[in-house]
Amino acid sequence: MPFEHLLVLSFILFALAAAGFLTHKNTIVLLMFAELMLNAANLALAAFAKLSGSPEPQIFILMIFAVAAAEAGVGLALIILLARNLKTLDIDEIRNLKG
Amino acid sequence: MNPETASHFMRSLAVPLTLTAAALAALFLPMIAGKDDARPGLAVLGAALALLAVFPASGPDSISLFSGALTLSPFTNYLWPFFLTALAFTVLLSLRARGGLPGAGEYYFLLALAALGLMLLVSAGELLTVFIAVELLSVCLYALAAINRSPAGAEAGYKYFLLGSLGTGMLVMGIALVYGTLGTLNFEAIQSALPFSHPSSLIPHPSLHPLTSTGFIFLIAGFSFKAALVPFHMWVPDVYEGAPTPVSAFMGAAVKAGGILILYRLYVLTAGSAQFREIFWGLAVVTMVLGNLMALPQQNLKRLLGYSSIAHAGYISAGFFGGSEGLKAVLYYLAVYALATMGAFAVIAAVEKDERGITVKDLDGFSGRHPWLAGAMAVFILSLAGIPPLAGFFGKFYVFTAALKAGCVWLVVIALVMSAVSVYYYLRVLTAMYMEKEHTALHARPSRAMNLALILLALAVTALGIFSAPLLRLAQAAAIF
Repeated sequence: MPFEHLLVLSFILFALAAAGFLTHKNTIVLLMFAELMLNAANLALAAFAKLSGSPEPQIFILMIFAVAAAEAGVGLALIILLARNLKTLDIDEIRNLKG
Repeated sequence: MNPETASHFMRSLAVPLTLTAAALAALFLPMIAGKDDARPGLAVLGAALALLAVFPASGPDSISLFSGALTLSPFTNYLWPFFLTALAFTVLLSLRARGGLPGAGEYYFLLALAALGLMLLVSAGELLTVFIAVELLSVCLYALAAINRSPAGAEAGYKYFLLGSLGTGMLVMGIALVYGTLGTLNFEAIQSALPFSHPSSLIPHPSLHPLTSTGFIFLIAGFSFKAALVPFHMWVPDVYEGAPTPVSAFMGAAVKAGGILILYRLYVLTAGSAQFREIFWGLAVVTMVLGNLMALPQQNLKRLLGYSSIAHAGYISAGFFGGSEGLKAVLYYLAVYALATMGAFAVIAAVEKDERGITVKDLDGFSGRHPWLAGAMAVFILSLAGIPPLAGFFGKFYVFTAALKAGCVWLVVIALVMSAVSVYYYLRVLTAMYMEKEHTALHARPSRAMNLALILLALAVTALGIFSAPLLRLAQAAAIF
């Protein structure tokens, strides 16, 4: 697969994730789209690794994976806390804080 | 490495390591020694104070560590003590509030790690380290916002997490694009790889590869989420309101500074391009205008301070354009803003019943029952509004002067107009405290630690205004980039 195709695929994935992030209402689905954005960026790094032949981007990808996992862990804990407190997963019903 | 450099290096390296050890001690103390709520906090407080004492005030010009991942410089010599001080004050504010609540150990652990993330953030020499430091900071803060496990806290934590991870996504995409087109993530190498950093080059109008520009735009957007510039500010008021008040204070004082300084680094990288200067100009203007306008109708005091922090981020970004004098002003401003906003949150922490804080109306007649607390609040609010002779006035004065010298006349005019607008909502707090009749009695029982913090903060805000020279000298020494 040529490098350009991989890069374009990663851009499409990123755009889809961003669009999904802006249109969906479920707290868990939103978390999934946020993670998808990170994966799209990782794919772009992989494409650049293929282009340059350098192992450096692959190391970046591993580190980004680790950070994304930690972030998802805290995110899921927050979703559970929210669901327990407010008995809902709908982002539109979470609006107690308002000016 | 000569002996002086080696000693500076060892002492500097001791700071993050000791802080990590203190954080771990705070985490495990409640398990070993039973539930004594003060001890984990005292461990972190002690570590922060001890590190402030041993930290060298000056060192050699610049040391690069771990193949450029970290850089120790006069810049970090100024900012590491700044973040340690913010951590110490946050612990002082938390000491009583944590009593009787679950998870005191985790709370201080996360707080210390967030401060560590900030210290790594300002000393990072390349973008991947910046990313990891930002995530260390953010993940701790998401959890800290929800640490009371209350509905308001959970909502604040989730909203912060959601918009924060949108910012992270943009950040990683920006890093990927910058790496892919320039082949490096090191700041110095990026600087020399960019076409406009060579004024002698033969290209008359050097332009960036479109993918590189896109990458930088993603990076600016991602960091604007962290620094809370409009239009990436949506989380700020909710998070400031729903998070425990000491955590909001830490966000306003320290996290804001970290976000602003990393944006400054990006500004320096891209300053050779007129388009990017315009982007930063636009962000500064939109931030100060909308931040102030949205603060006008707020009733909840923590929300009001949230919007005020957005507006201040706008004023500070005006200082970006002033070169090294601008950076000096920015560093001075960040310190005095941190003191005043920390103090205002401290007063709220002393009187609030739950973490949602108080409304401006609750403060009606506050000066009658609590003259000292009201006086301290007045000092902090007047400093935020920029009334002389308090420190906030000189912060604004130096930043706007630096921007004016760089030729940003319109930016300064807008900033001055918006400062005048901001006086309205700051004065609302003062008139409530001093002119209105009391109708709901607020019972303030500040702990000794909180009183100490309030006295120190109020003295610092007053003294640094009247005698601004020492802090300015420190900022001057740090403003070499």
